[in-house]
Amino acid sequence: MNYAKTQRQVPGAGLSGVYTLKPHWYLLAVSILCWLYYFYVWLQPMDSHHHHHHAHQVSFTEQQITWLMMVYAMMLPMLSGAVNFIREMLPRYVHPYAWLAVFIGYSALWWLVGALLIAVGVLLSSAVWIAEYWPAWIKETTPFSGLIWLGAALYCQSGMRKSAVYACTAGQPLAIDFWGAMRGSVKFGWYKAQRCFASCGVIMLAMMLTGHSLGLMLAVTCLLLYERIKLPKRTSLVSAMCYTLALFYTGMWLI
Amino acid sequence: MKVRKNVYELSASDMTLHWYSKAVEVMKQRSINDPTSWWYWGAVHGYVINTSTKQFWEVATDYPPKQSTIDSGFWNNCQHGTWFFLPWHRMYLYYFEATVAKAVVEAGGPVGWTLPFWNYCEAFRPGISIAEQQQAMTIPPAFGDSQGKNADYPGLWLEGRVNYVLQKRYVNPWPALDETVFTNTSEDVNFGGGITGFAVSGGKKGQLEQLPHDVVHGYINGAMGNTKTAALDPIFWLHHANIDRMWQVWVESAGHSNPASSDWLNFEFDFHDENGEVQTLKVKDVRTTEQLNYTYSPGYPEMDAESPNPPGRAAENVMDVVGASNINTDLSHDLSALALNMVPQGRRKSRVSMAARASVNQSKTPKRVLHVNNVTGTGNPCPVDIFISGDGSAALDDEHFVGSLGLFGLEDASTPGLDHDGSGLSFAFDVTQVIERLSKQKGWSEDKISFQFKPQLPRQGEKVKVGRVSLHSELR
Repeated sequence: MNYAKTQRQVPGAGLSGVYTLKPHWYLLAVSILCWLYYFYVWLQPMDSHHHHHHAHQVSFTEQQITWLMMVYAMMLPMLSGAVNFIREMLPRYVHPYAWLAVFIGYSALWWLVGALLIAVGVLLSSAVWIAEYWPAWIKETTPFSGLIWLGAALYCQSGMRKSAVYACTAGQPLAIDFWGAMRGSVKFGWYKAQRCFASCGVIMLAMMLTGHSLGLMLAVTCLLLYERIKLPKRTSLVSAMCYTLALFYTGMWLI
Repeated sequence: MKVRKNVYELSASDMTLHWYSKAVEVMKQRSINDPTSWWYWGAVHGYVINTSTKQFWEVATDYPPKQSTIDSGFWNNCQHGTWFFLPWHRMYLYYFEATVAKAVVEAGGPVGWTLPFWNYCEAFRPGISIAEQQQAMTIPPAFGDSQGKNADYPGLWLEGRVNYVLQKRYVNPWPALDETVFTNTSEDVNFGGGITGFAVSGGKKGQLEQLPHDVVHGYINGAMGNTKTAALDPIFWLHHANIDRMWQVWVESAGHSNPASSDWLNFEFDFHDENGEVQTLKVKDVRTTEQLNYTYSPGYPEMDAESPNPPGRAAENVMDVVGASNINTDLSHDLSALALNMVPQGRRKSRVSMAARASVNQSKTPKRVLHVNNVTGTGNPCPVDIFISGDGSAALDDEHFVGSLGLFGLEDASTPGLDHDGSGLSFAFDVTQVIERLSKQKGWSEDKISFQFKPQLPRQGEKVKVGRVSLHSELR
């Protein structure tokens, strides 16, 4: 039997099946590549790791790449529903372009958030008094990390955050002409990123501010994915995790 | 084993509705915070306070409810637009029936009260007279009529119903029962709903949920037209018993089977039983009525025709979008027309018309599905009928009839919140036969396809907007 020929005879079979029926594969691939990089860095000897960080001033581009890698590793699997929505709503001939457009729109908002965070960091570090004294003063006199995670926990329990998680699944109407589909897909990706930020941005910021291990990052990603599938009405594991981390960091500060 | 009977086949001496009325009155006297009260059972389906719902809730005993009751996790749990629509409502009816049966005993009635069903589908029974059709489609007289309540059954009355007699096209069981698969993951239609997690408004309605379920809700309207008040109307439970019966009819028909996925089978829902104790059921515990020790008396339709598909086969028709309307169209007018913009011929993977099919001499008619997505709005609008045209005309007759949008839960699905993403309602209709029929007529052109949207009753200030209408055709 000519296998290749048989594959072509069945609509949606073979490679085109991977391409059209499971279009989220490329998101998972990008996410996995990011995780592999993190594991690679983690496996490097500590000396070379530290040397890498302190040898030079980290540029804006490097900081943006680091930020977007964190976003892609943790958030891209949750965009699977969006690319499936595109598959159902747009003609097949525009699918590959539309998926790229969603990715661009999604990345654009996270890039903007990253740029704002970097700008705030630069401003803070340029104010000598704040840079020299404030962080140390805060960390000595308050359970800083514990308070950050307590804030994240309270936000996760709020109706605003639960609504934001639900809103992550929302679809929107798309035009089917080529350029209309492209514009709609970029906007769709942008809106998806907005909703992702509203639901998960606080947790990512808490991780950035308090520092985190690779294990914690992986655990948080798994919990966020689990919550997305179960939806917050059926699980409060994410807020429970935030409370646990708040207690842990407060305990560490007390000791 | 309990037998749920057709409400129109209860004998003159039967006391089922009498005791139902008494039990409703008993349950209404209980606190809204009591898991065995009428109000609590209504809120398990849905609860919110706004201008559409307040009149139905503010009369509840001990209103307003405690915040702890609202946040308990037992309220606002109805499953719609999901493959859990049928199992969740079966569980809901089961514990409700037990709670009413206990209230009947407390009111001095007999043990073993059983919920009847309202079989409006009898209107489609071949050979039935017009008068019999009308009776089948009429809300049973014990529940009152357009003139007011039935004094013998005060518990079964609820103010605000708009229609007491359904229309025949709103009780057609066949679009649902003809479906061969319970669920699927493609844009194709299915019987029981699309694959989701816990979903109060999941956007993936099965055919049974669309028709007759949604349309009957929307056409009766009043409390029944809103997911957040529907279960306060005593007729709700007889309507849902009929939907539950149709699931059993479908399962028992040749070639049909429930999903075998563990994601479906092992999904759990919590309810309160007749004693107010929390009980957990898995979907696999309610796949058939026999598992819950009840059945239904025989009634139309009973499907025993051979299915074209082997048992358990997933109909994963690969489809492509061949045309779609402009986005975000206002449907608040008495008649709205939406023309399709077709995908350029060279780019189209699927063809719509019979002429194209004949030219390549294919034996199987490609399936065509109409999707109506992101329908949003305010208030409780009545159903909207859809008609298709392929020649630029606007014929609003049975030949051009495609289906009805039962806008049950519209306002809720349009509002982002703790249970909804706010993207509105979505519907899918199998239009294979109607396009096949019309495409043989002179003047038909797939590049002239348009759809007319006609509200069944004039708008009363409700707003309705459709995000997009699109035509999908099976890939060839």
